[in-house]
Amino acid sequence: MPPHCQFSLVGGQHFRTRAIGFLFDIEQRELDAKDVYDTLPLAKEQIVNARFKHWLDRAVFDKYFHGFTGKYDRCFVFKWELRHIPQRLYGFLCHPRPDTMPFFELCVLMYFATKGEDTNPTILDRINRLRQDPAVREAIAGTYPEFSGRKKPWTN
Amino acid sequence: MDKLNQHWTSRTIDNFVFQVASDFTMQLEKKLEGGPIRNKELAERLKVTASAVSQVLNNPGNFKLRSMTEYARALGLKLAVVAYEDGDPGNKKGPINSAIFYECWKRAGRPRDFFDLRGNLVIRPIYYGVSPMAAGTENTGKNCPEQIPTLFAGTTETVSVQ
Repeated sequence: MPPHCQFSLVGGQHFRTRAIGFLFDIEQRELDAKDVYDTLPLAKEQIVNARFKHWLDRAVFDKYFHGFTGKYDRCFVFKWELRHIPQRLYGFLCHPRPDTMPFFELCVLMYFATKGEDTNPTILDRINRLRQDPAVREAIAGTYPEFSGRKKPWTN
Repeated sequence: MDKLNQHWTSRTIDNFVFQVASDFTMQLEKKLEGGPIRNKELAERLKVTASAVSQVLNNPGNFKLRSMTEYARALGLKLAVVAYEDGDPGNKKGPINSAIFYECWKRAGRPRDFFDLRGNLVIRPIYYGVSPMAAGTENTGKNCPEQIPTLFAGTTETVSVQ
């Protein structure tokens, strides 16, 4: 999917010390989190937006969203239900403003899945691979230039 | 205003109500998670089915003040309705999470009435190495800590000056 992936922030939220965005691929559509979010029915959009705001407010509640441990410790998931079927948006966390605001956190959502109790590790493996891909970093750097890792040239 | 640049809770009153109700149900669910009352017992206390409780908690948009009070009381909680000015009359930033008001009340020594607020109540702020305002997205200050504490995780001291 890289190098054609793009990144955009979620609309309609206020980002202070955290932000949420989607990584997506217009051509292959494998990264489907944004497509699913954009076509949510109103009632579910409200639930997901409220979950997003709780995370942006730095609330902690595993039933709504959580990270993972071990080799997936940068992966993240937002959770809700549709007719008792668990719905999930998977992505990863990063610090896209290392120079000017190191504690600023970004959740980059990529995949949608419906699931049982256990998370499919295949998705998390794919996220782990993609989050280290230079093309993904470049896509995010379009919004957060510091994330490219390139130092600004001295001007004086 | 451009729909995308508007906070989602500004688009309709229903959205705003949903967020406020969702903040409330998160408090209820945290209480349920901490026990000892479970969904089934809560349902019995409310004289509704367990699935009705789940439905309300999963989709709180239709909560009315009366039913909010019933749910809170069934869990041994009380309820306050707070109107506030946060310097954001256009609601570009969304509502303040109700748990933040609760946390502030606890940090202020859980005052029961205005008598408890007499004198100069001094609440020592948590020092993050950066002022809360400096943490705004517009700011580019460099003296930022690695991470600021998570909601509910912090502690502070409260001193009442008589």
